[in-house]
Amino acid sequence: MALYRVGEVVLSKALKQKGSVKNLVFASKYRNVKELYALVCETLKYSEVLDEIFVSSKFFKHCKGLSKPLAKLLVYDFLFGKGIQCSGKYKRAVMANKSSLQSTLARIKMKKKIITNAELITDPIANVKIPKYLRVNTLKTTLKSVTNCLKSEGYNLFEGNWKKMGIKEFKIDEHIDNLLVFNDKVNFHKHDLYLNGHLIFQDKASCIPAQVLNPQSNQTVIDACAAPGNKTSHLSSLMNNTGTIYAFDLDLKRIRTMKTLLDRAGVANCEVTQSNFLHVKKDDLKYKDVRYILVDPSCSGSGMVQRLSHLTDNAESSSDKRLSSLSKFQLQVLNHALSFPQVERVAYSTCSIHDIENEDVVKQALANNSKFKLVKCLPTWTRRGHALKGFTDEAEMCVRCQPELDGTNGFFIALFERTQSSVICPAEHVQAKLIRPRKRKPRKSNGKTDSNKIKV
Amino acid sequence: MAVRVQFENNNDIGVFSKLTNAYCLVAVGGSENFYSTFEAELADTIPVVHASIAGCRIIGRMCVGNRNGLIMPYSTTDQELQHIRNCLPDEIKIQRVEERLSALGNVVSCNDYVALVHPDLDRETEEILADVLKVEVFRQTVTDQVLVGSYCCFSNQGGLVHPKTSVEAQDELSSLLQVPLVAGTVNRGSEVIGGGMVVNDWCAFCGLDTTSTELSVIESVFKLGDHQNQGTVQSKIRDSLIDSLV
Repeated sequence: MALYRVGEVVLSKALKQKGSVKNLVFASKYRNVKELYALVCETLKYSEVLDEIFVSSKFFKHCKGLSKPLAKLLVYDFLFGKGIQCSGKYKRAVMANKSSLQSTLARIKMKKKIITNAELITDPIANVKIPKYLRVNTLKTTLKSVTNCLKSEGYNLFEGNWKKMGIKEFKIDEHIDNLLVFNDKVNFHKHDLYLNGHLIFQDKASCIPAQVLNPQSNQTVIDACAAPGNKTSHLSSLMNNTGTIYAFDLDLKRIRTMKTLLDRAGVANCEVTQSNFLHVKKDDLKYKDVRYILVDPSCSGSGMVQRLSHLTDNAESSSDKRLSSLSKFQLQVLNHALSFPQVERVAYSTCSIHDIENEDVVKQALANNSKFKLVKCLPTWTRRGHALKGFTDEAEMCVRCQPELDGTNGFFIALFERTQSSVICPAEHVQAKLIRPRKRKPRKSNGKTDSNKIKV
Repeated sequence: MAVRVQFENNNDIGVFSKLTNAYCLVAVGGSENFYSTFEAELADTIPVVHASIAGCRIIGRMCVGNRNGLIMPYSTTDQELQHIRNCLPDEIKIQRVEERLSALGNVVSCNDYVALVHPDLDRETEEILADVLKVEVFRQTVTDQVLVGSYCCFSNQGGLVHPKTSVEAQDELSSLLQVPLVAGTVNRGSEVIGGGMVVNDWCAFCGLDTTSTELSVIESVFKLGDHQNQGTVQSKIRDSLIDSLV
């Protein structure tokens, strides 16, 4: 009973866009989070069918006193789930209508000429299963020792398409270094390798930005919108924990999570600041050596498979107004990143599938910053950006990920590089470059004593 | 096997009998001919029971049942109910329902898995049908006839529907019921299928007027008698011929 009552609150809030399903489920403080999350997610997947069933069986005419979200949860569990897991008035209410609900479902299936319930989910993304990705944290371990450890636990190395992968199998990703692919049902949350930070849950798509940015050791990097820090720790491991990463984010709560994650991953070269990246002064002496910037600004998240936002989406959330304000912000962040004096490479990424947040932003940023060009990232990747007017060759440079085809979240990446001709090297810049290794050491020790910074 | 039978010079035997896979009810009548025809075919396998409902002989139109249960109208007397209860196997549930449309046999047609019901049937009756007969219940009409129990008749093997059923409607019905259907008649052109015949998975009874064409349609769609085995018998003969030649 409690399950459905809490579920009702979560579902109605989710439908009113008061937060993502995951956050609402955790905020509900319900004891069995897994059960509640599964129930709400699955109900959302079947939402359209349930609406149809309610209409054609005239459910609410016969069954008064149930709110729509609650009725959805109950009927989902009755028709598609494990059966109603409570007694009392909720069960009675649904059982009084069971034959009409069942026959309506049978009729709907018949009309659509389908056999199984799973085929009722028409939403292409809702039905998409993507594998679990775990990145090997090279700060703490190596790919070889992790694979040996997994093999000793009975996991087998698998070759071929991940869709055919069994639960006790894993494969090494062909595009991203040090990335392991597992069956989506595998549970690693209590595994030692995860708990001690040797493996990090990170979707394949979100590994691409750091990989293509490819910062060398002893460089200075900015992660513009860093939380929750998986990309930051990826950067750090690419840099072998040397150099400095300046990470910025606005939200204090997210920064706290990020610090735990970075701690667990053993990242020691990262300085997290709670601030808006747009307010970071580009001519601050501290950032004059910044060569690489990773820009992963807030976006609509429309590509995220697990977030289920597309299921709770209404006209408002994907409205042009919201998207264009997001896109404006994204362009600001990107322009700001490209304005840093010494920056050479900027990776721009979003987990959105809308052109307006992706290709449009990149196109405008290119127009605003003539000193930068796009570089073809991941040459072996076949899915490229959408061609726009005046953005056809450039679109070929960008990478897009599509959940149902690539087995990742929906994602977009573009990599900017300063053109050779525009690397104006005034005398002092050259000097700065030359003496950089000497200057680095004292600066690093300064950082430790600075109380304003949060050193991880 | 399909058998022709008459109830006191009346061909509508579906009115006076109810046949399922687990039991058979027949009306009490002046002569025992009707009863003995059923008994000759069925007595080895299932109980054949004399019954009346609310003092009437039209039991086939008053009740509805399958191998899981039997639903009786509210007008059934306690004595009649007790008699039927005593004669049927214990695992068959018997239930009386308070239903405005009291001729249940006319408004419900069912096999062991699916029931078609009159669109205006009470919702409570619908739930009882689903529980007692363990069927999925569909509110449905057959060629715009709301009396689905009168105008169609089906078993777990196949079904016969009103002769004017369109092909589309037959398709829809057949996908609801998950059995093959044929539009046809009984009793020399009678469209009241449910009233003219009774059928279970291995046996059918129809009125004495039923023509041999009608009878062969019935035998083939309900897969009765030799029709179902023809293929296997032929292949068995061929196999043994080949064996003897080799």
